[in-house]
Amino acid sequence: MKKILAHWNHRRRHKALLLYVDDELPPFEKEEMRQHLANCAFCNKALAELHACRAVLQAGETAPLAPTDRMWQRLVRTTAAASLKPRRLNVNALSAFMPLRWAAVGAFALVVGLLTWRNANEIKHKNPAEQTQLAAVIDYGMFFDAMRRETSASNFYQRYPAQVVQLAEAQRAVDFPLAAVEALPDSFQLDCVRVLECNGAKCIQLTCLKDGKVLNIFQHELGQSWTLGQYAVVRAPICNVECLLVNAKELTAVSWQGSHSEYLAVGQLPPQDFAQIVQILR
Amino acid sequence: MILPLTQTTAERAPDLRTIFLTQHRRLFKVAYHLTSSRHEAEDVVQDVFVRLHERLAQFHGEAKLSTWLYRMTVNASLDALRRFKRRQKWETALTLPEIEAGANANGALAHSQSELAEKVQIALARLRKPYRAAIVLRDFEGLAYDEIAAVLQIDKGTVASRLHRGYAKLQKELAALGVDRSYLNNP
Repeated sequence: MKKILAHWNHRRRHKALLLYVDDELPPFEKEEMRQHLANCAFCNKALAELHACRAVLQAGETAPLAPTDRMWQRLVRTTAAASLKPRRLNVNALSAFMPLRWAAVGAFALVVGLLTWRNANEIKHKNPAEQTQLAAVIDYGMFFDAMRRETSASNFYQRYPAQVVQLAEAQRAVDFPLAAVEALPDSFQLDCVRVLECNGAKCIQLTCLKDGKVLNIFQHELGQSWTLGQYAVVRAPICNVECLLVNAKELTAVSWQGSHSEYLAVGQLPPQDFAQIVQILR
Repeated sequence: MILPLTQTTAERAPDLRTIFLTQHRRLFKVAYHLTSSRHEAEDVVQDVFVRLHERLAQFHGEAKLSTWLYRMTVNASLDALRRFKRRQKWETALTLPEIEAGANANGALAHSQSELAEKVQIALARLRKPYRAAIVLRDFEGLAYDEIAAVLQIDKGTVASRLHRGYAKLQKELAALGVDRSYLNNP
C-alpha cells in the first residue's frame, strides 16, 4: 500500500514538473515539489530534460522579421482595397469553431429565407407609391458605377442634382469650423450622394467633380473611416484625415484634410433624402 | 449640428501604424513557428492587420488587443496549415532559405545556429497543432498560462496538459533529429 501511494505521489509530482518550472504551482505545492525533487532521481532527470528541451528551443528560435516600409505600404494598399470590396464572411476567423460552421450556415440560411419571405409579403401588400420608394431603395444597391455609365439621366441625378456651391456661400450657410482648415478650393461640385448597400452593409458614397476629375468619397459601414477613390484607379485611404459631416439648413458638407490637400464638399439635398441619409448615419 | 463620426482616420491611422510597428515582430514570429514558412507567416500577419484595421475601433484595452492579435495570428496560421496541407512536406523536407543565406554570410557559427533553428522547426512541425500553438506561445512569446488560455480560448488546465504532452513529444522529436543538450555545447 505504501509503495502504491509512493508511486501515485511520484506520478502526480512528475506531471506537475512543468507547472513547477513555470512557477504556476501554488506555494504549498511548490514546497512539496522541492522536497520530492530532493529525493527523486527520476524526476530530477525529467526536470533536466525539460530544461534542456527549452534551452534548445531558445537557441533554435528564428530571428523575427523586422517590419519594413514595404510591408506597411502593402498593408495600406490592402486595407484600402478591402474597404472598397463587398464584405464577405471571413472563414479564417472561424477556424476555431469548425464543428459549428455547418450549424451556423444552416441557421443563416433559415434566417435569410424567413427574411426574404417576409419582404416579399410586405412588397405585395404595399400601395404603388410605397413600391416606388422601395424600388428606389433597391436602386441604392448598385455598387460601383454601372448606372452612371449605362444611363445618361439616372434616378440618382434626378434626386440629387449637381450643384456648385461657392466656399464663401457655404461658409455663411454652414455652421462649420472652416477657419480651422486652410487653403480650401474656391468651389467644389458635388455630383451626387448615394447610399449603397452590399451584403446588408450600408455605405455612403459622395461623387464629386474637382478640376474635371471625378472623385468618389466612400464611407463603408457607418462610423468607419472615409476613403477617397477615382474611377479605374487603385483606391487609397486619405491618411491623416479630419472628417466631419455637417448638417445645417438641409445642407450637407463633408470636409476632409489630407496630408497634402484639403477639400470641402457641399451639396443641397431634398429634405426627405437628406433625412434618410441622416437616419442611416445615426 | 455636427454629426460626429465614431472615430476619424486621423485618430485611427497612426494607431494602426504604431501597433504594426510594435506588434509585427512578435506576430510574425508566432506565425512563422506555426507555419514553418516565412512567406506564409508574412501573409498571415498581413491578414491579421487587415482584420485589425476593420475592427480597431472596438478595442479599448491593450491587453484585450494583444490577446486578440495573438488569437487571430494563431487561428490564421493553423488555418493556413490546414488549407494547404503541407505538413507532410515540411516533415520530410524543410528548407529555410533565409536562414541558410545568413549562415553562409556568417561562417560556421551561423551555420550551426541555422541548422539548430531548422531542426527545432522540423520538430515543431511534427507536433500536433494544439501542442505546437501552446509551446510557441509559451516558449517563444513567454506568455503565462492564463494568457495562453485566453488566446486559445481553452481553460488553464488544458494549457498545462497540452504543454506537458507537447514537450514530451518535442523531446522525442528533437532526440530523433540528434538534438539534445549536448548539441548546444558541441554542435
